[in-house]
Amino acid sequence: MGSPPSFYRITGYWLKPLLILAMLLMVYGLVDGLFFAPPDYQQGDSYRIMFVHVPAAWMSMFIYGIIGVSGIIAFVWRMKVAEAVMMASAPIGALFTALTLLTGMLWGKPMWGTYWDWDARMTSELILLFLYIGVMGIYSAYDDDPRKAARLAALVAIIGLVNLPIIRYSVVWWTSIHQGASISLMGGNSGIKEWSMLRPLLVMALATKFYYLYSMLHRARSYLLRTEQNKSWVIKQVIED
Amino acid sequence: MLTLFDMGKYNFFVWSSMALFGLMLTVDLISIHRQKRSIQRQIKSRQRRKES
Repeated sequence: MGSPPSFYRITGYWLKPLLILAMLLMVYGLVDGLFFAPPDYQQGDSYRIMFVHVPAAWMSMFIYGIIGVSGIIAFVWRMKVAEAVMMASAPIGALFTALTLLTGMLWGKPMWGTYWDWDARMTSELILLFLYIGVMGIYSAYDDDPRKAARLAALVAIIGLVNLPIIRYSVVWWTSIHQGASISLMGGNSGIKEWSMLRPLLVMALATKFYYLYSMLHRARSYLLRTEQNKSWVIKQVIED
Repeated sequence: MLTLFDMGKYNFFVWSSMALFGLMLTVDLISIHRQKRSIQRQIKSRQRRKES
């Protein structure tokens, strides 16, 4: 998997199953969350925004974690596949972050009376979007030398990792209008307890993970085709496709 | 049937969020396929130029 031709060949078999799985889970999760989960006793039906907002927010941080780790691998060991994973993940992460912010605004208006507040959670999530744009921008600026571009983008990505714990604990460290964690892994008092609400949320979380894998692998394969276009395996592969 | 889709006074907020989610995934799906096709076309035309 470390070599671009093997990565390209092996991941080619995974794309269709990943997309089918993601779509099926999304349909199930959304139908379950929108039509079968009971309304919240405080927020009524508005809480159903959670079924897209929370998985998107989890993905925005998860994908940045992946970018940071692949950035370290790309920076230290100069692995091409790690560069491909890092650069392929950035637009998907930016998309999920934008989705988090927009759906958060749509949830905030009926609950807090405002679309936006410069509170720690929202501001740190906005900074995450700027970090994604920064990683992609740095890469585009040095597009004529993809190896150099990837190393510089990796550096920005690694520095930006510091923002992840800030997002995660922003509602704990600072006074915030944003609610606390939606689920508690430690079995604390916070988070959703009702299984009929939790089930669609977990299904959507899984669906977005599968979708990310599909989109990232697709983009990583395109990245390898573009950066290795003078290699014989790429020409052979493109002619076969 | 319509009552199933009724989110009370939150209709706009809930359905806009769902529409945004669907729109963003659709845009992503289209963009990844376009990107791949454009790279393949680029490599194929370069290969044809080399051969001729």
